[in-house]
Amino acid sequence: MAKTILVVDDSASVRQVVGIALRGAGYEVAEAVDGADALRKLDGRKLHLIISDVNMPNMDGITFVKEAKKLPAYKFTPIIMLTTESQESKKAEGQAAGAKAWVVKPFQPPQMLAAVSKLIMP
Amino acid sequence: MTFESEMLAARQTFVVECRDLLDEMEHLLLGIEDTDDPQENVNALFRAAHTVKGSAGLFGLDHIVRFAHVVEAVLERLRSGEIEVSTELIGVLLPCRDHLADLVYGAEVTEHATDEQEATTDALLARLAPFVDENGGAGSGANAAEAAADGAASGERDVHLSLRFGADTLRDGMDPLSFVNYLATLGTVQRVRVIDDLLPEADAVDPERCYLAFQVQVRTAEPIERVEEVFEFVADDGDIRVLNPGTPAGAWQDLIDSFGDAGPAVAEILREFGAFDDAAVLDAATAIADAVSGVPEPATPAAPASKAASTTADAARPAPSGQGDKAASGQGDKAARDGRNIRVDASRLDRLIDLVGELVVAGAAASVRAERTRDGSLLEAVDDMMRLVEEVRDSAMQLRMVPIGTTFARFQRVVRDVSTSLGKDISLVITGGETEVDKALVERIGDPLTHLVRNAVDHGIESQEQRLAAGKPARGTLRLNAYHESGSIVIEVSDDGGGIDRDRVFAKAVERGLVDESASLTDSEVYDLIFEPGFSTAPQVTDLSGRGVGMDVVKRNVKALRGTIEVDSRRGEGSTLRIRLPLTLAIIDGFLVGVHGSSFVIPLEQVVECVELPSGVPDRNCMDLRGEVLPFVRLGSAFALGGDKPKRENVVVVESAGTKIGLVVDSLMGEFQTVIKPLGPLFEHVRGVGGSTILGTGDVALIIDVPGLVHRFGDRERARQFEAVAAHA
Amino acid sequence: MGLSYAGDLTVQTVAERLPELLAELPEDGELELDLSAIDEVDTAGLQLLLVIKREATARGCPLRLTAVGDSLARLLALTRLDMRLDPARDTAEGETA
Repeated sequence: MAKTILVVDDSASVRQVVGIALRGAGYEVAEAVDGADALRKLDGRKLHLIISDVNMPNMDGITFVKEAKKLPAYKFTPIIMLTTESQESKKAEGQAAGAKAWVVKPFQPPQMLAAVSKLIMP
Repeated sequence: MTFESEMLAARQTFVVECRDLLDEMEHLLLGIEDTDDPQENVNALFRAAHTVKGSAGLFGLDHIVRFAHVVEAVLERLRSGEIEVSTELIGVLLPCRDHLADLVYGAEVTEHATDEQEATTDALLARLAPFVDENGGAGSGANAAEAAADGAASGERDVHLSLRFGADTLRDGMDPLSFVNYLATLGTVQRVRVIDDLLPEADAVDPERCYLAFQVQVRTAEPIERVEEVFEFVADDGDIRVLNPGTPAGAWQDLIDSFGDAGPAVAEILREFGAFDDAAVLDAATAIADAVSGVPEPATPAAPASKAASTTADAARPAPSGQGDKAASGQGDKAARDGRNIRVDASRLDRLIDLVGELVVAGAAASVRAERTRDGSLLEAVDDMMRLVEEVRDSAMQLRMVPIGTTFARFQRVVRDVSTSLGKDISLVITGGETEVDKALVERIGDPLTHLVRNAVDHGIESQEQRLAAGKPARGTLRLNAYHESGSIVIEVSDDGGGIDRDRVFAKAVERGLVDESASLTDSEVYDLIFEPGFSTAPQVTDLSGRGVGMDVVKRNVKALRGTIEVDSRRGEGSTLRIRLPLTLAIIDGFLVGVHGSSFVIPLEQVVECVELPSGVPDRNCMDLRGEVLPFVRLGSAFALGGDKPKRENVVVVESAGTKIGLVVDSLMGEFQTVIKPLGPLFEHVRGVGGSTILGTGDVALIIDVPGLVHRFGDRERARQFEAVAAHA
Repeated sequence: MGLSYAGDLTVQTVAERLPELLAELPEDGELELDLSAIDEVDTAGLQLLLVIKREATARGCPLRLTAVGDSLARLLALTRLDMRLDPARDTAEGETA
């Protein structure tokens, strides 16, 4: 059974490319356009991993991670934060909130796939 | 779809997204020399350039990354104040933006730059050079590829990994075995041993805690750093060691020691693996023999011991938070980043809403005239048109609705900063963030809310010592909540602090001459006193909120938005400040009434019912409404209108914030949709009037400010009424 | 005595599974655990099996894994714990792994 990953980013092109890469590697992909949307998608469905951007409208990634970690069904779900090299402090904030993994933008699909396969086995 | 066509489609999305960002960059660059706050523009510019670079990197558009990276580096220096805004700099950045746009648009059809474009890139980079820091600014985009190339340098050998994970690793969603599994991508996993010596008995085990450690041997040609990198997500909390077979004996001994009681077992595994070189084994043999015999009891048991020099912890540790944090957390330009939507200039949207408002009024006029003609088919056509106009109105209003959650989320930071500086521990709980409200309102409610939140943190929630003494948890809770209620949005700021001290408020009000000592006021009337200008009850003045924090200013701001604010408070349990605002500022559904020849509009959402005024009601301004005491106001006398009382008067029962009052009018003229025009400065202070509108007939009607009237007459009349009833009984 | 488990044996479920499994350990005799219907296993799940195995041994009622699914078989093979937990493999994949 394919494992499911939720990709949260307000940039449609980022979601598209990450989606293409992950589906190509055999994962199921769900998408959300911001933190608030992502939170709505944590509706009990089984997720193996969440990939979330930090700066987003409506609800930023840090707040989203904090909220997600409060939900019993997702409190142990691994989360990858999409940080940038100029946002070291955001990475720390994300880690404190519960997103222990990160990928630094700009990244290319193989780097994202590497991070994903460190966290979940195929 | 094939992979190629999928990627092509994604690249087109990228171009569309970037178009917005590039437009914004141009706008920001052009405005930067005229703006009061150039820093804001610089931040937005930086983020835009950064986003373009980030997305370009994702598509492997290296020529864009290379160029955007330098532009970003210059903007970063501008942001940190190392260089300043100058006409020369803007003169270089503008063509850079144009070139970036050129490169991005080119990406729609090709992944590569033309020779001409490359030449422009080089020319512009040369012009940027004087603004680039000589030390920094060098490539980060191509780093990954370089690192990968480095990897091939060292020869293949059996690397040993000792992996102990932090206690919370599993709870953090990290699966140690998944990392071990990943090692197969770097080489061949030769051997794995699980160390479960640290696993407690079944009745003492916390199954979500990670007790297991691993010893792994991998045959790989990758350098140590690349192997360590695999574990960067867990290195901070764990003890990850990667050793070459040639590593001196001391490091091996350290490794064994770090396992405490399990040391001998680890030593045995190392021996079995043949983890170290022949040369090293001679040095290490005695040490390991000691460890295996288990004589020296290590002082450190299960807890992770000191880290060896080879852990990746230092590399992964985040730098202290700096300037970038503040800028990045500012959500002000989120709309600009919101590439999946069409961005519309707010003033254009306002113009549309205005026009729709005029359309509604014009439609109402047409409807009135059509009715006079008694032409059935015309009436039908006008009805159809009005229905459509209403739909257009609703859709237009929807364009401006945004969830209030973003505004709320901003306060996490405010609460954290303020509570930290006060030495308090306060958590902010946000609910109802999805509640939608007019964007114009959201923008204008931010400041009053900030005041209320700061005030609650500062004055509302007690110090930790006081809380503990009162038997409360040391950590205070502040709640932000929003919901819709009868055509309004209600925003609540609640704290679980000490509540408002009624007596102190009253005493202070007397001292300030706001009320008479003998006045008998209801609790809510007393609480309302905190909104009086210059009022403060906090015994301790802090630098954060000072005296009174301008609660009067808060109230004035809320009123300006046609809203109300009220306080609920329980001694020892906390307070709730409740702001009630109309959903939108522009258009209301009104109920048209006539009073002594004048017309008034009452907002329909506040109208409960209409009844006839019973004859023989005494002078006391209240009536019996199905057994309930209903205070009422004669609009004619409230607004001092001349004219005779008609034979029959009607009462429009209105409700605001849970209080009902009656408005006595002459005639009821029915529902009516209307655009609110603000009152001119001459009439701004007139109480009970919220605005004006132009009727279909061309007449002007005043719009009744129901909350204002209710506040003015409702509470007082009711209190008086109860006293009268009590005296009577 | 035989017991069959389905669903996940992961960090999300181990807190529930631990007391359940401990309660199933018989006073005497052998506990046979059929894990062929388990969907997902992670380090927490593996750790749980080690705890149960040890507890069973301490109580003198040997635990036998009568069958394991692909996912667990892979983990056991990766960690070389198949010797310790000694599962009987009933899946074709398990046989060849």
